[in-house]
Amino acid sequence: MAASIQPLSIAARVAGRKLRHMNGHGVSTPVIHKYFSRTLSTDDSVSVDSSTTKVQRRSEQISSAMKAFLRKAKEHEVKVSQYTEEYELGRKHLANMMGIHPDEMTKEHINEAIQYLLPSGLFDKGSRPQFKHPNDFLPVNLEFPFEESGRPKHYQYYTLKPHYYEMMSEAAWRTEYLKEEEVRIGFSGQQPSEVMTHLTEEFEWMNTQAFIEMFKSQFSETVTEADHKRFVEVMKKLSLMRLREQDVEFLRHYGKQKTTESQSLDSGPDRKYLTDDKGRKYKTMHGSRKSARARVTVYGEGSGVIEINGKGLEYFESVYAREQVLFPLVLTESIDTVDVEASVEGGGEMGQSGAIRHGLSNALLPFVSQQMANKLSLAGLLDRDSRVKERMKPGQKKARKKFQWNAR
Amino acid sequence: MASGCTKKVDTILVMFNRIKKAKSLAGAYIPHLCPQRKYKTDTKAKVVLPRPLRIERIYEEKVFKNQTEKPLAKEVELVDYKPMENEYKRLLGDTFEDNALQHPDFFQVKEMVDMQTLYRNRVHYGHHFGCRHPYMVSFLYGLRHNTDIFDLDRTLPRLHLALNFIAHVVYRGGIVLFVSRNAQHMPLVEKTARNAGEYSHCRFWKSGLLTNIDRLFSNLTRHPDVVIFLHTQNSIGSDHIAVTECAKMLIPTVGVVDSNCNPTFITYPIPGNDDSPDAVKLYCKLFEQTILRAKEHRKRDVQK
Repeated sequence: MAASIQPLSIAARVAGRKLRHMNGHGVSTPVIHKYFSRTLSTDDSVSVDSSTTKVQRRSEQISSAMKAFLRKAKEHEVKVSQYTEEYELGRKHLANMMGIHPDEMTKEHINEAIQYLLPSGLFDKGSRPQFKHPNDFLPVNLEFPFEESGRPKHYQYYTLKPHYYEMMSEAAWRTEYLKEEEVRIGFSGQQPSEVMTHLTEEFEWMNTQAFIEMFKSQFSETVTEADHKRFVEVMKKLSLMRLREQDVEFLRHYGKQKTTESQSLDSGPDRKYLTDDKGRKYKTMHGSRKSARARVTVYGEGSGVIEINGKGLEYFESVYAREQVLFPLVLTESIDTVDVEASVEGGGEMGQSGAIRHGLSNALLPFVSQQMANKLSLAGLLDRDSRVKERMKPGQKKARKKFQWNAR
Repeated sequence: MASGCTKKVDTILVMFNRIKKAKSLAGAYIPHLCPQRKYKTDTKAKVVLPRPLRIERIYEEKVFKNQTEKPLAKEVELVDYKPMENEYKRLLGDTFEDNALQHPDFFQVKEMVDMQTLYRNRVHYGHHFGCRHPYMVSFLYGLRHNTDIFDLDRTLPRLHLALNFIAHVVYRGGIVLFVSRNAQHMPLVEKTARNAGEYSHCRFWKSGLLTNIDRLFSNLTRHPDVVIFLHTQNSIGSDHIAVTECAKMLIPTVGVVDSNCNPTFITYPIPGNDDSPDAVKLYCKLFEQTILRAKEHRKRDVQK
């Protein structure tokens, strides 16, 4: 038996066990298992370093880790303060050079200035010269999650996703409270003390990507798509109840209310028209269908003139094709108020008419109210019809038609 | 009446009269007194009695046999424990004299609960007798309308024990973790944990949370010193993983065990109802009260 008693690493212990089985040697070790001593108050278990013969208790490990963390936090704070000082100085100098008051200077000004002063042709935008506040580029300094005694600060620390589950439990508490309130009000017949209303507009909840990034950047918690799904279910359930103001504010952290006018179409470039040299309002858009390509201009102040490749609606011989061209105007009730000028190439009759329809409906958007624009999008007139002739397959006559089937 | 049955009939009548006198059995169901089957072959009154179940035999022993009323559960008295001072101080870290263990009920836990409150909050109701776990038989009093009824003479001292233990742990600065996987009562359990200044885990339990703690957490974390189970079972109906993990890590557990639960790995089981909201509210209130009381004591004694 070995005389010297030394603490061994895990690998050595395993090797010793194997030797014992194989050769019959015994390796005397003080087998100090990590969690051999359990006491009420402190984690007094023991861990062993193979490099040193020092035996460290778990409570001491925790305190040493905490001290290291606090040291790093102090260094980080010093760094941040230095960078902010430099940033503020440079900002003032830049403003002086540009002739602007530093309070009126925006990020766009800074970006323009740096692109002028320090131009670079690098593709990677992250490696170009930048001028940012340290909060924008330094990593977030997380708080140490424990108190002095080693107790965690967050009451759901052991769930591994404390802030996510805190949010979910808050929503659950609110739903419970509101349910009980409804019962109370129903039995008593009185009006509630606070102003409680149902939501008129639905909420649009956060994307999965934004949701995951939020928790990763702020709290360094990994959240999954299933968690996001559950989040949406819970918030939806809450939003269907009769809510107080504080509940609506709580929901606004995690979603936006859809207004009657959708903001994307209102503020986008689709809703803006241009003006001619003569002062006429117009909008040109391209439309396509199959292999037909159309270029359509719509003049806002018109009298219902339609021109297709220099001709009128007679360009199309079939009635169906003419109807396709007229349909967006009929929907928006703007036949008399609008002039249309279109040029078409490629395709056949149906394809060309479909292309003009596509271009026309997109060009009509600036001259039409938001409700009508929503109607057009609902009708599918703004989408490009992606149907194309299906290819022929070998072993068949055509795309779908098979050869004659013989019993024998 | 057949001659062979006279003896049995006489005993039955005697027992029946005794039952009427015994108040505690008002409305109780005693199946072996009601003749169940009469076969056509039995031309004469040959009563076929079913063999009584084990619990009904216990019933019988208590009531029918003239025994003096023993205390059904021993009143547990804590032994006077005098720790070695040096070792205790080294482990505690805090230097304050610990007189708490000299008293059997230092935190006056017995005045917080009594039998009436348990009865009113429906703690004595169990599940259908078909769901009965065999290890829970010793905690049951009997059957009523096919539901198991807990013996509150056995739950009450165990409740006191558990509360006293929790108080002592919190008095020494221990971490308490509330665990429950019942969706109905999850908000309440989390609220009690937050109000008491302790921790809760009523969500998906990642296996290895306690046994493999260093891998799952990025920082070195302390294990909880007590784990309290308001529901020892999963949402599926099987035993919660945390029970075995605590047993492996030698973490003492307190748990409310219903008649369909397994009480083996729980150090301080509280046999009682875990399904009705009144009972769960009572338990949460009691745990919160003990923890806050113990923390008050700790504040006072640490300052000294």
